[in-house]
Amino acid sequence: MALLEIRGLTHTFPDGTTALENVDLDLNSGEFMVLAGANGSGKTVLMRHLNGLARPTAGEVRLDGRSVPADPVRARRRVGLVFQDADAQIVGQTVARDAAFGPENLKLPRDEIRRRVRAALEATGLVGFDERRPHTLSGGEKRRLTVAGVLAMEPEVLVLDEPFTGLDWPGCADLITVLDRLHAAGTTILLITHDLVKILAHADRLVLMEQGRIRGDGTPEELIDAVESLGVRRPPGPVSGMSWRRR
Amino acid sequence: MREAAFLHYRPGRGFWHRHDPRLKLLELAVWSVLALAGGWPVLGTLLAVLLPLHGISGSRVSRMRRPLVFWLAMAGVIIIAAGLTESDPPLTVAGWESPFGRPGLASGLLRSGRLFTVLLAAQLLAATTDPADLAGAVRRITRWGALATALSLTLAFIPRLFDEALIVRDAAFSRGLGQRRSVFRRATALGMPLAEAALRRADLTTEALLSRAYVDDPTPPEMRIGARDILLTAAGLLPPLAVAVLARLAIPG
Repeated sequence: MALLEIRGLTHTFPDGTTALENVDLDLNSGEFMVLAGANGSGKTVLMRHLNGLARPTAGEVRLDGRSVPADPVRARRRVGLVFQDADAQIVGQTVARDAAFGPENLKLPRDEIRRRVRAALEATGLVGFDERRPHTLSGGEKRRLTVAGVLAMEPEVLVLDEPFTGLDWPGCADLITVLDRLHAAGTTILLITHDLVKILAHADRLVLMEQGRIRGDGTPEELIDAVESLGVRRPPGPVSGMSWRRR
Repeated sequence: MREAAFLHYRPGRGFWHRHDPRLKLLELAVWSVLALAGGWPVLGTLLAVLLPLHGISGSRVSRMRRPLVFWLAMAGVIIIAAGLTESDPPLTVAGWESPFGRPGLASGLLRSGRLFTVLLAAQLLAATTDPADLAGAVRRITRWGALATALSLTLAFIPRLFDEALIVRDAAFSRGLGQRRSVFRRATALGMPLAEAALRRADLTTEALLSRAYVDDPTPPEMRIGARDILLTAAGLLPPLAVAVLARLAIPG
């Protein structure tokens, strides 16, 4: 059984616009999936369904066989979302306090919170930044802090929405290093982007969306030549070269 | 992000930063009551306590320039209004009898001083207390989790609203708004986009909080009232309280 199962998911906005239409998708444990599509294809709306921030108009989303909308709190403990706008996600006055926000909401004991914060900051390369004020961090460091804030909750699935937006090459490279490490440690990753050149070489699976529907689902090598017909630029060269990691 | 100077936390490890936030709330309450009810001797004592505390805690009164300008404007209005209200006996300057009464001007000055003292006390608390700790203290004292969260988030997002305001203003000015002199035009051109941006930011933040399993009663911050905290509270409260009592005793009848 897949870790996350989406069956017949439809999302219609109050004005009648259909954002998602009859979406079927499975996310398996330990997978690194890239979800790509042009602007307005429904990627972000789909992400909001994964931990119960949006309610389906029709269809269902299940985590380990249990309905996400029926128990969103359970889903939020296990599916961590990293939003496109890092500033909106940072709520703490220092790096360490922000990373502690999620574990505090889980009502964990202080010692366990400290352990998790330390581990999350280590995993994201932010050790030594504990007492820094988040707004003094660079764009890349802020993005890694948002990942740390989610990692401190020890989720099984990490979902990132356009994580490379506004980042320079070092910022992207550092983030890719963090994602590689997490994936190697067994974290399931779903990364939403239309910027395949930076990350596709690291993915096990590529899913393509257009106008609220899944248009392709397979390995990156199988689908790479189809992406341009769906409004996503096909980077030149083989899939193995599509990475902005440090060499 | 833009630095917010007033009523905003600045991380630090000084002794006032480490002072128990519940006692800081108590001190703010007592200082405010004394400031609002006391006369000049009490205000003077409060300033003698608060100004050194600002200096030692690193909260820097100099960062309050903008709020001080606002306070000066308010003080001017308060003094003029009080002077006009209580006009007998009038203030006479070089033989010219002004429309302002001396008792009115004196009471206006006292009210402005009270406002300034309360602002100083509030700034000391806000600049040295992490909003999360403040929320934890409010939760422990009142058990009102939602109130504590609202307080904490409001303080935390003041700089973000400043940022939004700056972006909206720069965007409007880059498109020629600065050449228009109409205040109404400026207010609508800046106000509406800023309100929309603030609401959008609030939406995003709400979703981000929910996605991190937000609850009203998270793990409370570590708080322990020690001997040092008691000493600090005593040092902060006893002098103005003593002056207030003495001033009360000195009033005949």
